[in-house]
Amino acid sequence: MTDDPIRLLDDEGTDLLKSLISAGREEEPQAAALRRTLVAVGVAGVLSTTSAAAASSAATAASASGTPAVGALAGGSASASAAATGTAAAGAAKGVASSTLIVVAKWLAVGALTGTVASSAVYGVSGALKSAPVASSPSSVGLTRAAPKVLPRQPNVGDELREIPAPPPVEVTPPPAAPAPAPAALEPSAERAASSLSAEVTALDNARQALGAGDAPRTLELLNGYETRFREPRMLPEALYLRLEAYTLKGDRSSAEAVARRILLVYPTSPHAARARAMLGLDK
Amino acid sequence: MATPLSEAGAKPAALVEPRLARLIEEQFGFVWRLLRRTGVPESDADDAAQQVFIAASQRIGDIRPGSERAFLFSTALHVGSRIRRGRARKREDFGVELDEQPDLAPAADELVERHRARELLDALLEEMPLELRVVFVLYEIEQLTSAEIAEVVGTPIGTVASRLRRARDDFSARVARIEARRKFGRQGP
Repeated sequence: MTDDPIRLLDDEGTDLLKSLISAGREEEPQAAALRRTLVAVGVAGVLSTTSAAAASSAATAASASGTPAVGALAGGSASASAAATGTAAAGAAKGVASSTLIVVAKWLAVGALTGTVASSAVYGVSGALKSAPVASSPSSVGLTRAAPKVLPRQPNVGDELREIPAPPPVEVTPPPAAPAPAPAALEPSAERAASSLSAEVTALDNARQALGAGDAPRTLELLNGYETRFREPRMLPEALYLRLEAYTLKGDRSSAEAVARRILLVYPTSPHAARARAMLGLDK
Repeated sequence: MATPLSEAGAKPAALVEPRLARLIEEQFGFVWRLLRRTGVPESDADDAAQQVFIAASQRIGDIRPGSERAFLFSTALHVGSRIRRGRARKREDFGVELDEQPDLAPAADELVERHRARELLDALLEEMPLELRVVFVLYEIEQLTSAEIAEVVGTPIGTVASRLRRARDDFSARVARIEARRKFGRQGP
C-alpha cells in the first residue's frame, strides 16, 4: 500500500496546471449520447423510475424542508438502527469489537446530512434488514432483483437494502478449533483494526462538524488529512460524501460532480450513490 | 443495432437488463471521459462509448459482479486504440495534421478558454506513454485512489504509484515549460 499524493488540483499548483485538470474533470458527454447508448443496447427505460430518483427526491424534500437537523435526527436514527442491525450480524460473524461498530453506526446516524437522510429514510421505512442479508455478495446487486416485465420498475426499497455495502473489512484471525480462546478476546490485528476504525470515525466526525459549521475549506483540509492518514480507509464512501457536500457548499460544482462520479464509479451501491446521482442529474 | 440481451449468457433478460442499464447510466461518463483523455476525438467519443457498452452487453453474463469497471476500462482502451490507429491512417492518407498544437494565447471567452484548456490537456497527455497517461487520468481527472486504479488496471499498486509519480512529474514539467514560453512571449518584442 502506498500513500497517495495530494492531487494536483488540490495542491499548490499554478493556475494553468489547475485549469487544465479542471477542464478535464468538467468535460461530460451529452445526455443524448447516454440515451442513444441505452437504446442501442436495448435497455432504454429500464431504470425510468429508479430507487435513486426516489431517494434523491426524498433528499431534496428533506433539504427543502429547512429542518435538516430534525431530518438528520429522524433519518439518522433509522440509519443507526439499520446500521446497527446490519453491522451487528456482521460483527458477530467477524468477531469485531462491538463498541467500534456502534461508533460507526453512531457516525452514520449523527453524520446524516441531506443525501444520507434520504438513504437512511429508505432503510428505516422498510425495516426489513433482518430479511435482507447485508450485501451478502456483490452479485446481489441488480441480479437478485426480480425485475418486473412491465416498466417502470417497482419502488426499490428492497433494492436499496440489498445494496447496503458490506461492513468495513476488518481483518480478524479466525479462532482455532481447540482450545477455545477466551470469549470476546480479539487478536492483536483485530484490535488494531478496531482502533484504526475508531480513529477513522473520529477523523470523519471532525470533518462533519466543520461541514456543519459551514467551513468548507476546513472540511476539505480535514478530508485530505483523512485520506493521507489512513492507508486503507474503510469509511471512504462517507469521506467522499462529505467531500461532495463540502465542494457543493464551496460552490465548486465541477469538483463536486467529479466526486459524485467517483462515488458512482467506485461505490455505486453505497447509500450515498443516490446523492451522487442527484448531483449529476441522473435521477431525472 | 445490437441485440445483446438475448446473448447475455444464461441469465434471463429480466435479471440482466437492470444491471446493464444501471451500469451504462452510472459509468457512461467515466468511459466517455476515459476515451477522450486517451486520444479519442470528441466527434468519435459518443460512438466509441457506445461500442464499449455494446461489448459489455454482449458479455454481461461473463462479467463478474464487482469487476465491471475493469472490463469497461480494458474495453475502452481497446476501442480507443482502434480509433487512434484509424486516425493515424487518415493522417498518412491525406497528409494532414489532425492534432495541431493548440493556440496558447489567452482566450476572452470562458467557454473558448475551457475548450482550449482541454485541447492543451489532451495535447500534453498525448505526449505521455499510454501506461502513464491512463494512471494520470484515473488519478487526477477521475480521482480514483491508487488502490482503486490498481484494481481497475490490473497492475500492482507499487507500479501504479511509480507510474503516477512519473506521469505527474512529466505533466508538471511540460506545463511549466508552456508557462515559461508564455511568459517569454509576453516579455518579448
